[in-house]
Amino acid sequence: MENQEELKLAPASSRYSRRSNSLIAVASGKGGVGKTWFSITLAHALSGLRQKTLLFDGDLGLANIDIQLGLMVPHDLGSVVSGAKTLNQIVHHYDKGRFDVIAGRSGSAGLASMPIGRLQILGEDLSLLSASYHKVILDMGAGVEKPIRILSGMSGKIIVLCTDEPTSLTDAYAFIKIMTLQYPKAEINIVVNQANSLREGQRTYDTLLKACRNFLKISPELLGIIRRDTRVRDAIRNQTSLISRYPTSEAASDVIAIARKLVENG
Amino acid sequence: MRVKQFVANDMSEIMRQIKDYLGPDAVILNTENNDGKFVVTAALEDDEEYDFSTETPQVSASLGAFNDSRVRGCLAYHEVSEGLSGKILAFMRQISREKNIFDDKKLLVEALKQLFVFKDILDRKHFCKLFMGTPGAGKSTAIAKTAALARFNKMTPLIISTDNMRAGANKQLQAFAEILEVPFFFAEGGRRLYGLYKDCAPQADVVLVDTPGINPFKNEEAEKVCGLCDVVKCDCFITMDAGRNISDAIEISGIFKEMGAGFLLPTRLDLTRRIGAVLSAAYENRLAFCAASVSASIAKGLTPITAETLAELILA
Repeated sequence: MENQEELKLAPASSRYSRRSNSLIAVASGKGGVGKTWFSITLAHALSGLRQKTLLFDGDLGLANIDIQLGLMVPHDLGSVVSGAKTLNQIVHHYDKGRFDVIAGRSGSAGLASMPIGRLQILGEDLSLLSASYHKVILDMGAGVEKPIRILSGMSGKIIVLCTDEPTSLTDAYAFIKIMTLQYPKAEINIVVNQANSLREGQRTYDTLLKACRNFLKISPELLGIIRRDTRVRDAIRNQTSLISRYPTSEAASDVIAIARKLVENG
Repeated sequence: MRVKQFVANDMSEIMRQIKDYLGPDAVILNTENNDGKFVVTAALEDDEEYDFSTETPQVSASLGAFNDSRVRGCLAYHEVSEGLSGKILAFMRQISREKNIFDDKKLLVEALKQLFVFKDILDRKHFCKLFMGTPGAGKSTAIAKTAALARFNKMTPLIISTDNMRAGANKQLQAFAEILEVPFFFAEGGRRLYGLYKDCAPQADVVLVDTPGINPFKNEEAEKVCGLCDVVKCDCFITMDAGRNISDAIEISGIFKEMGAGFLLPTRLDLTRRIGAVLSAAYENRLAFCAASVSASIAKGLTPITAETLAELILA
């Protein structure tokens, strides 16, 4: 038949862009690569860019955001799990950084071994709370256990933090692999931390990218490179945000650049 | 993934080492030359298999406040998007704690009131109501039903059609208008629409504007209706078949929202068994509900949508 239409679907429309999920999970696989420090600094950077930001301590049972910031919070996640408080009732405002914090609880075996159903409910409550914020940063614990995967899987974006150490790269890869298998639609970005230089950071990213491309057939984008900076340790020791203490440091500038990218990308 | 670094003076030696140690399937991730020595990082993928089946959250996670598993199951049946479903349940838990309510339906009503806006279709804030949608969505029927509702409420409606794309479109709407004894006009283009609106609108309590059914994915068609929305101050309604695929419903109504729509008027509810697409489209695009056109029968009129009626549909 003449003028028969081709079998094809409607093209994407430039008039429409879906509302983005404001949850951003920060994970790594390996511990000690700087997730908590990065989460805190990123939250501070985002608030500086006029993004109403919430920082959630997702390291269930081994929380330390409140420690790194020197906060004494009246209520933490333990109160929510016990039913004494709702999630919105334990939000604490960190004045110095102008962002909100939900603190975890350290040493709580109950939190760390929360049943999946309860975790799902926590995730739903957090998703509801996130509607009041431009960005919600979830500082996840180390490893690839269920709670980390489930909470990361609910996020609109997952930032995988790594360093140039082979163990960090291997664990970052393992995390990406498992997340990709369980949540194929997860948007995964890479941040290289503690890089000796931008060039070396790029090399670290290229190494991880090559592994992902070859074995997983995915190409997670590089969100940023954070240069090694001795002032980071000083800020942590003094229980304050790097941006508060050393706002013009290289590491602070690098995180602010990452925050700008996140804001620009929506 | 197994990763190992190999160091040697020449690449052929390194390739031999990689093959011996990791096997022929190894992949080179990085190559550096440090003072004449080659440093190569190679990796081999594991064959480990993962089973996530035990990690599916159990529906029976109830906090004793209400029957979480029942409501969760109903939302899943209606194929409400996961994000919206989670928010509905989270609101129900929050309201239950704050107000000491434990009834499923009451909590669901309260949660829906938090998440959606419900308005009266004949709200007099803007007395011009413009209807848009894809071809065959049921615009003409919805307009006729709205005109009938206006008459029932002792209001004087007026219908203006701007549909110059579909053969016979105006005849159908004109026929409805005659039966309802409602003045009917045809406006070819925005300028004519504005002229008619200025001249005739003062005699009416509500002006109902029909637009051509368009393919929102085609810019040239979308622009036709965009232009009409800008001509007069009006409430813009998307008429949408309730039985659409959820992602398409969200995207299509999102495009119409960008064009100026503020309300979602679902149609053909008598031909669908699930309202997840309608709920998700309204939520994702912040569209208000007002009424639904359940069947093609003009005589049966529009059915108001409220939090109560939605809750009943979901839990039925």
